[in-house]
Amino acid sequence: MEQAIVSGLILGSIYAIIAQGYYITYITTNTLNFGQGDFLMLGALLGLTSIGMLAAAGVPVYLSLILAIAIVIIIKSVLGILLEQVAIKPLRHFFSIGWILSTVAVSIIIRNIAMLIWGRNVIPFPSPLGEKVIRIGTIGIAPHEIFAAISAVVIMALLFFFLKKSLLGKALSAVAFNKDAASLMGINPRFMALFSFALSSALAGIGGILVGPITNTAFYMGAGLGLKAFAVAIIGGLESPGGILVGGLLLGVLEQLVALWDSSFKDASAYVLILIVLAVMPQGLFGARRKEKF
Amino acid sequence: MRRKIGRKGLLLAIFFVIALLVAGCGPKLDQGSSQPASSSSSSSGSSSSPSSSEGTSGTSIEGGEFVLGMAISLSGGTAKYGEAAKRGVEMAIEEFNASGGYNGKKAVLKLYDDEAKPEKSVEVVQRLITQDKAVAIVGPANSGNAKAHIKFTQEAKVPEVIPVATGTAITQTYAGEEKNYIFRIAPFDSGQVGTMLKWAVEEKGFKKLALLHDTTGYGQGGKEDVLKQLKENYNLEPAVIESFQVGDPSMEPQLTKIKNANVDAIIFYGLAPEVAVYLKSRDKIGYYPITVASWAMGDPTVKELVGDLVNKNLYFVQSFTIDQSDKAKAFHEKVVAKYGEDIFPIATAQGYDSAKVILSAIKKVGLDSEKIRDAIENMTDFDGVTSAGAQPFSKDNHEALTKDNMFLATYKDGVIAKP
Repeated sequence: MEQAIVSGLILGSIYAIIAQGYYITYITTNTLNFGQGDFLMLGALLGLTSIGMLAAAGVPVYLSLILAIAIVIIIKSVLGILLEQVAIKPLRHFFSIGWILSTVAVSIIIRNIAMLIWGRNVIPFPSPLGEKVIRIGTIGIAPHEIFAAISAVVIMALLFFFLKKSLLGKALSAVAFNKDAASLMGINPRFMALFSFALSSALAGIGGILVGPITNTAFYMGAGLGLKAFAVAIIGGLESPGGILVGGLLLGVLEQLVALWDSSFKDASAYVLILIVLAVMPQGLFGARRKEKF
Repeated sequence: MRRKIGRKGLLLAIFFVIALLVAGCGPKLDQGSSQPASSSSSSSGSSSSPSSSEGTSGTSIEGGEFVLGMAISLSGGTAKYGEAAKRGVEMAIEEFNASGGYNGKKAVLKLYDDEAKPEKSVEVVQRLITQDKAVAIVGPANSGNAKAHIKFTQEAKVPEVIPVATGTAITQTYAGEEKNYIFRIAPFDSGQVGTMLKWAVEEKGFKKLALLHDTTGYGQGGKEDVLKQLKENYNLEPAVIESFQVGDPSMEPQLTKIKNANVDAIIFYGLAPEVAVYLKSRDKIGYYPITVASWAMGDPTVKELVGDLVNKNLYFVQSFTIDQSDKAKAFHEKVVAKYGEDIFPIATAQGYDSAKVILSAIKKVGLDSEKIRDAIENMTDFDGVTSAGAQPFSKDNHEALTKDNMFLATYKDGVIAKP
């Protein structure tokens, strides 16, 4: 039971960090990248390759982990910008929901390219922090899991402060609130859209490095995670970063507890939770309540 | 603002559509196969050009040559099985040619990569039969591929010996025909289950068993076999039955439940990546029950993924271990001498035996495919490196490895050995 809750919290914090990627682009551009899961997979594989190369070059373990994260952030930011330019911007103007299919298309392309580069097998992703399980009472936790959970919370805290306190973050929110007014105030909405996609994609990349050593790393790993993260975003409320964190932890724990009862219902539980939440609170657990105007 | 709210309803609808779409893009495992088959993505760019094995295609000497065909996966999820089996076949051919071939005629290996895809497998097997005029074929690694193409080998009356694919039905498809051209030297699924249960229930006397299986065709098939054979042979039922999905990051809840049920042993039915997750979860909760599994647990991928965790209380089906006999040890050393390492000893051994049974038949009856088939079926003096017997096949039995000569092996210091 305790073990299930701890595993659920760790898993949930990872769901939440991926889901923040949906949040960022949704509030600024009203679009999101349905391929977030595959961006995560790419982050994991790029991270794995760069850690391997750095370690082979004799870089110390912790430094190579930090460098790998930096490399992944840079590559993924560029990819995020490309995604916005290629798959979202051209389609938003003349067909308002075309971007949905185009982001899915990009994700499938990425998945296939990853398959060609890294092959179809599951690749070992040994955590740079070692595999020795830490035992607290009856609960066992791998060091990487602690690292992942702490990083997830820290990243989300930073993100929150960035959006609420910094000028750039406020500018992002301003564009989201009213694009025309924001651009009259001297904010460049194009830049903000690109920036939000870069940020979102980088978050997915970091998520990949965090999740890689915990799950099996392979070209197909992203699909399920991306979907769960989307469920988290919907449950928590797409416009509330705090709600996404709570939603993530809730879903992670719920899944593990359901599996404890009957493992065949584990995945179904996530989607049952979405249906219940949306039936009772259509804006998500923490989404702002608004009256629908007709 | 209204626009935003309307969009959220739309998003939800799209979410479910995409859920379906994405679910269809995950890894697919073919029914009854013992290995992950190709993914459903079809844009694989790997070339399909045939690769004739270099070392064996020697310069043509008087007496000429004949073609032994092989269609197996050298890319895709089962690439490791394919590569290992290929090495075994090459070694068998080398020995055959060194001993003079058949009346001076040398065997040449014609090898195609079926990319672990059934449609590709059908294509290359047809090419082997019609274009390359292979006198016999060493078959695939994936059960789905075997099921897709055996129709063609059977109809063309070309004997096929399968070194890896384990789906039970494959060799029985044409059992009713006058002549069944499909043979196998690999542990077939329901025979593996028989071996597992015989060891756990008869030899060890375990009565309280848990079953942990994946939800793909492989695990479901295994579950049915386990339940059926437990009931029929021992009148038992598992105390706990739990499942897991491919891609699940942890099996801790399932294992906790099994731990609380206090069972004697766990029967595990899943493929290498999931075996790795299982072993990590075991380590996490500090619970190391005796685990009985199919040969998928002996896949070297498992050891690559989890390292030393393989050494604790794992027992799984094998037909070959390096330490089973001096002959096996000598074979292993030959593989290491030729290729530098023995990447997957059991698959190499089964590949070797599959080619050897064909070549021994050719020594006796020549190059007529139908006669080769008869000679394989009636062979009584087979001398292989796996645990296959001197008379591997008979009219009613096209499985060289059965409950009687498969056995359970375990990891000792990271090497698969007899317990």
